[in-house]
Amino acid sequence: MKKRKIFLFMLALFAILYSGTFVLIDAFSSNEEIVITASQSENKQIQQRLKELGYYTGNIDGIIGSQSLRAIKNFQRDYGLTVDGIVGPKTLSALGLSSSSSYTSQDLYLLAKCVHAEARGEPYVGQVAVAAVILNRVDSPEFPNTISGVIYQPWAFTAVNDGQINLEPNDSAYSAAKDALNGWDPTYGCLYYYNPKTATSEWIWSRTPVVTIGEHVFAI
Amino acid sequence: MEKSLKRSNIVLIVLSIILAVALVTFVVLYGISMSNQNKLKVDLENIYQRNYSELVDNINNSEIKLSKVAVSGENAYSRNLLSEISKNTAQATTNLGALPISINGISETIKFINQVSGYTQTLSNKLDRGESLSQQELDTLVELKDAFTTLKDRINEMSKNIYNGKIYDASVAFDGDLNKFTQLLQNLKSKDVEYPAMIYDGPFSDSMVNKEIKNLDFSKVTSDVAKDEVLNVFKNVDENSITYLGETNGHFKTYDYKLVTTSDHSMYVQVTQNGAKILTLSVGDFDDTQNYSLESAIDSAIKFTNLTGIKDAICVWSDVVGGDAYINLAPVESGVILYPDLVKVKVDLNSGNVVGFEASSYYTNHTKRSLKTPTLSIQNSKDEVPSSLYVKETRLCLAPLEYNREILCYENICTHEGATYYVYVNATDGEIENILKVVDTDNGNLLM
Repeated sequence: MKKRKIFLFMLALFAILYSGTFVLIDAFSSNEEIVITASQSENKQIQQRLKELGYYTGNIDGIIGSQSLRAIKNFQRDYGLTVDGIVGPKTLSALGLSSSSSYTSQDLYLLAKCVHAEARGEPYVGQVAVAAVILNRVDSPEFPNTISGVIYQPWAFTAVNDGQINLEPNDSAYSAAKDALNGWDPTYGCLYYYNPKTATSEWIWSRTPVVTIGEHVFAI
Repeated sequence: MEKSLKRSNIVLIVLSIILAVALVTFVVLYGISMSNQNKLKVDLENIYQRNYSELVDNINNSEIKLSKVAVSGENAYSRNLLSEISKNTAQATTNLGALPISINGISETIKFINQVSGYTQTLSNKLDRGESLSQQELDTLVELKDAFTTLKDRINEMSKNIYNGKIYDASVAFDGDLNKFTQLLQNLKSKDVEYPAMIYDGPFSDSMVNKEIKNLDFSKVTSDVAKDEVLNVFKNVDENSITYLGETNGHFKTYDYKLVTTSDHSMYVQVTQNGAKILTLSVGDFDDTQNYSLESAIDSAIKFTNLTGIKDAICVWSDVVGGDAYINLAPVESGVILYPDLVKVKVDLNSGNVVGFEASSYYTNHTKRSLKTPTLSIQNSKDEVPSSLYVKETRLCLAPLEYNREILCYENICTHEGATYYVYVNATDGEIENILKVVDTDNGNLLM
């Protein structure tokens, strides 16, 4: 009886450790092969170009497997690009292919990403306002002086902190970012915004509110 | 009986071995996971430390150069020093921006360093133009040197403490809204010392932040009057589909409305409290269909702008991106295009409707100006354009080329190897003030 208990206990322990081990193995393997492309036809184009350039010898099937990945990485290494296996705009343009979601202007892309991460679900004008706040910070002496400096300032934006910034922006975010870059600013110089329902910081309440758009209060 | 006991012992032994192997694997993987995490932490710490070291270097260098400027008088050497101080201080703010500082924690110090960068650049440009520095500017430079000496002493003192600790650890430990690292940095500013004020028109100057609004000298109206103006301009909107949203109380004061058009589009309109002028219009519209031509879009843009009360504006720039036309209009006075008073309009090429309007530059800058007569002829202005460029068209304009400075220029639209350039030649002395290149991107044409 006692032995049976020990046996069951060990079996349970074994099961726990076994599953735990796999979770860990999962965690290690998940971050190594990321290929960002739009569609299978785009993948085929990439494989075709890599084959023409002598980097890829496999089938043109639109499926990015380890062979395609190796080809992409070798290509990136030879062309002085970041060797990450990710087919981003730079790699596409080096391959002579243009990206289906076009963003040659890095600032516009970055701004659109931040707007999408911070304000998707907000009314359109609220998205323009978020983009305008970022641009107002670039001009303000109290903040970094470039768009990337402002967006990636540690702890400046929650959606940058938690990685949502890496989501692909939608049309609305692009359009809002472009409008703001073109001079639209429905907040007329605001440097801050917060959601009064969720804001935890105390000092944010000391800022002078200028306008409420959607869920956000914009302030100077 | 004995046999089955033996068998169960064997099973137990085998299980124990499997368990032991699993345990070892688990521990090893856990170890790798932890060491990866530590490695990332060290990487992050190194980035922080690098930025901190550069910050200290940049502050120290600025202080030394400010002392040198204070004793070296006005000459080419000073001009270079001022320009270098501007770069050092700009770099210092970049370093500060990369450090884990709680937002708003040391904004006064960041603002001060940024303004020193703008101020020294402005003075350097002044010397470059052959002008001399005023007594007030020389006095300010001495004050800045003193302020930087304090800043330098503080930051060097602080470094001793910081290098013992870790910036990462100090950044994740919070005390109220601010992390420990920010609280340490707050010591950079003495409570009893005010940063010297810098009076200048240049990057980050206070005069740039709140530019005077020159063209809204009207009396304040009620939100009902503003609503009437909305109905006057948006003829296809039913009165019942206008919702009053509230006020904007910023640099511009407006009444804000939400409008729903007959085609079910939701529009956001801001009307100035002074004089009930339509200031901005924003509509989210992402249809790529093009039923209307750019020419008809320009017509709609001008008609709409006239309706808001802005007359005599012509199209100075247009571009089609996706299903929208972006159109810039500027008023013309005695044949001179007034670029500082730009009105920006966006027209949806699917419906032909105006879906964006922005007139804050117009109301900020448009005023009766006394425009000079150009001393340079059009032909002379073309001669000043670099010979590699072919001049297609020349027109007279008022260009906002520098901070709060408006200069009468000839705008020469030129081409070279298929690219378009805009060359601005000063209409008084023939100097080239600026050259812009039209950069054709997938997101439309940009002027750079």
